[in-house]
Amino acid sequence: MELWYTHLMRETIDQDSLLVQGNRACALGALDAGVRFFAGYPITPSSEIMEVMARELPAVGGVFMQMEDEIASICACIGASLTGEISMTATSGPGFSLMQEAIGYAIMAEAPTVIVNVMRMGPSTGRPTTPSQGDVMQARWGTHGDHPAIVLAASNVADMYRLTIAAVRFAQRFRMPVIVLADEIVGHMRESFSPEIAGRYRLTSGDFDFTETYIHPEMVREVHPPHELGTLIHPHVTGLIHDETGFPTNDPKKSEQFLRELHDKVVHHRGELCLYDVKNVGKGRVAVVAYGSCARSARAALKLAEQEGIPVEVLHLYTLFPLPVEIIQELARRVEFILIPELNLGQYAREVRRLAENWTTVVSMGRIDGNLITPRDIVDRLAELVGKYESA
Amino acid sequence: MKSTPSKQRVRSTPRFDSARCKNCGLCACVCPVASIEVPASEVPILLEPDKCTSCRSCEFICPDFAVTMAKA
Repeated sequence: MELWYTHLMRETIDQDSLLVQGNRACALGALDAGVRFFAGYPITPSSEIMEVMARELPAVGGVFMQMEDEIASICACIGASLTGEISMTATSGPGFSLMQEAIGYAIMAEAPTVIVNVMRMGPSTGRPTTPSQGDVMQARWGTHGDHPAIVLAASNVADMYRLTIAAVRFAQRFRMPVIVLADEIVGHMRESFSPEIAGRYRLTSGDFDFTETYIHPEMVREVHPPHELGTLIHPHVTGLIHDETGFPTNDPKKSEQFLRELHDKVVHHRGELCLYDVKNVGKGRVAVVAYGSCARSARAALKLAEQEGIPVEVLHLYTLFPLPVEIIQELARRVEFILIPELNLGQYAREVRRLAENWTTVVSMGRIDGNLITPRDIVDRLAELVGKYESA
Repeated sequence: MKSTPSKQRVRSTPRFDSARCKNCGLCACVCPVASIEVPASEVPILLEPDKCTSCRSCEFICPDFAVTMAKA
């Protein structure tokens, strides 16, 4: 059988393992997922994604463009995606701020694209080569208006590969921009992983199967079908609130319906969108909820804490938004407290607290000095807190 | 204050000039409500004038200036 993850396989050092840098793995994932258009502007710590794309895309018949800034980059990606091309761009904090307006446009115009944000310490130029998770809320609420968002968070090099593929799938399936968050440590880290894991994330033709035409007889639909360019249907694309014809409307009823449709397509598919991993299910007295590079520390802390007699359950989230409401609430019902280690001042902890406060206590553990949260830090904090809160 | 009954807005709809039309069918392609039909070698017909949103896409796209907008 012919392998479909050809780009990744070129990196193998032997049959069972390969050694790749996180940013490179992201670019390889994009190529294997069928991304054939990349527009970007180089920025530490995401530049390597652009470098790989610049070298590899022309060879597979794709288009690479270096733009004058990040605003132009995302706009070029939206344009490319409207022609049916699978597009992607990569950036870091300052560039991500510039992209915000166009992200809103992409949500409104239902143009699928993938935005990789390799987070640096901020605000502003901050510390470019320092890991951080400060862009979590920006990824959710950066652009104005009530909008849906799909945000994924990578915690290691293998994640960079497979979550990029998942992001392409979600973008095409839900016709909206998908944001992949990574932090500097994940982007610049080189590590080995088994190429076998790639096989599980293959895109099937069903992921791109849209047969309906642009004008749909029913007003209420979950996902808008794509524009059919090159056919007799001539679509009109706008960032204004539009009706089923694609032209702007001021009708209150139609406006509400349109905005609700945008949200519903994400909310109704939460089961499909929420990727997560629970370690030690039902056996923990306390729980750690983590994502990104902190999730690696949390997984290591699990073993360490067990040795010290603290049973811990670890919820590793790959999808940050839409919020995995049911999963967090279920976890909250069975533990004493939830500890959330993250490289910011508790941005995601606030979201988890909102969901879990009826059942348990949520403790935020933020670190903003540019260093990582180590497994030892997590275990020490757990030991401090165990027994302090009433059992759920 | 006395309330006055609101005026019924009369929308403009496209008129097709048979002398200029070369039957290319572009107007039918761009119509967002798919209500223009172009019969073979004849002038386009507005099938459902009520559905027309007066967006003027057909007027804009026509290469031969054969479409003009007019009120009923």
